[in-house]
Amino acid sequence: MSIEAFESVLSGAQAGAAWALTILYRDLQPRVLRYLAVREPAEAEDLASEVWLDVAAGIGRFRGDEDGFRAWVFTIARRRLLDLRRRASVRRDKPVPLELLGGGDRGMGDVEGEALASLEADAAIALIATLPPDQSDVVLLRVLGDLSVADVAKILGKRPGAIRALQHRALKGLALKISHGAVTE
Amino acid sequence: MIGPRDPGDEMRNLLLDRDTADRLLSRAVAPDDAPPGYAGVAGLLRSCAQLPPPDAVRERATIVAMTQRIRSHRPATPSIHGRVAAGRSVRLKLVGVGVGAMLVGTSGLAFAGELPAPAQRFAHTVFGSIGVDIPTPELPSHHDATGGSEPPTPSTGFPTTKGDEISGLARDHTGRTGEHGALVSGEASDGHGQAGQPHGQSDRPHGQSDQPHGRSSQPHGQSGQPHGQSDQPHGHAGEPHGRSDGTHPAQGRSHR
Repeated sequence: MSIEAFESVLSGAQAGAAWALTILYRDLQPRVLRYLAVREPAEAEDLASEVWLDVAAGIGRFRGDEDGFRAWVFTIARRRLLDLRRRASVRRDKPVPLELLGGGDRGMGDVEGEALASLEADAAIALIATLPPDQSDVVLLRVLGDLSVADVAKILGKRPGAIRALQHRALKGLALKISHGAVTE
Repeated sequence: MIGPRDPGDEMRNLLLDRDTADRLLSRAVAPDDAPPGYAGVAGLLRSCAQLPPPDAVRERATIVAMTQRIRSHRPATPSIHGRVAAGRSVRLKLVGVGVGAMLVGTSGLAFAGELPAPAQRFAHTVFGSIGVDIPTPELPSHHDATGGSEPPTPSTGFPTTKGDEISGLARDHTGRTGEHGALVSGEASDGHGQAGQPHGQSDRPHGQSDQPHGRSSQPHGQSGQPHGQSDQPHGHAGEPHGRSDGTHPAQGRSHR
């Protein structure tokens, strides 16, 4: 999306225009849902809905570009995740079953190619979820959120150098898992 | 014979510089262009972007809820038109308060007779038409001509004062020659000394001393207790501008 197009969409969304909110939702909801599903597969849908309601409550005060908006939405998602964990005092860092990652999100344009691509994406995300939590957080935020090292550092409350070290270890770990045949072709 | 693979050795063989790691995570590296050992990672990260669109039913419900929430939050952030209207309203209120304060202040000054003469006459006319008595401005007096700043004295509707008597006596030249000044001075002082001169011993015609209107060199009659007055301004026991006993500003003023 160009800068002008994003500004137009953002101002429409801030005014409560459904068309603008739909554009933002379709762009980010699949990513946010995948990110939440890796950590809380059973609660991911409800958490995602809460994230969008928080976005609606605060979008009137948001100032920034598209990258900033993505970072803001993922910041909200991360907070919602932590809130849920605090409330439930549970951690689910087990590898996520493939069927949970793909469940309940089949909608428009459900053609065979899309389904296959989606399965590939779900398999990839499931493999990333097997990394240690801090490493998988970094990779998911960087890949799903298209976020920079600096943005991820802010969201996770770490220094950029620590994020670079984590992503380096995560990529090496993924390479090892793939070379050992952890991914089913 | 080849032994089992050592993970430590493999990790050391997977060289990855910082820039390449960034490009891999940005999905900017194709599997064929990836460093040795990272082709699978490049493909895996690229496939992460192939996400299905959101569920249509859930999308509609979420958009409706978001729209309602945004509209419920909008009063907290008024539009530009709202802010302009609010600013206009505040300005109108300020102007109203200013006009009201000016009217009250002007009326107060008019009742006190402190307005400039034309304004005082106008106020007298306006308030007189509704039955409210407002003092008219005092005609220019000798005191005013010499730079005095006394308030205007009402010219009508008040009893004749001693000052008026003395003034009339001073102006009446008929049948009086040398004693005229002494007569006026004696009347003015009621037998007391004035401006350092004994009773009526002025050698000037019309009883005038060196100072105009029988006044001494002290401002406002503060010349050795003329006219039986104290050393207060106009010699009137702490009363401003000749109000010695609270009767009327004109009473007790001898320099007219």
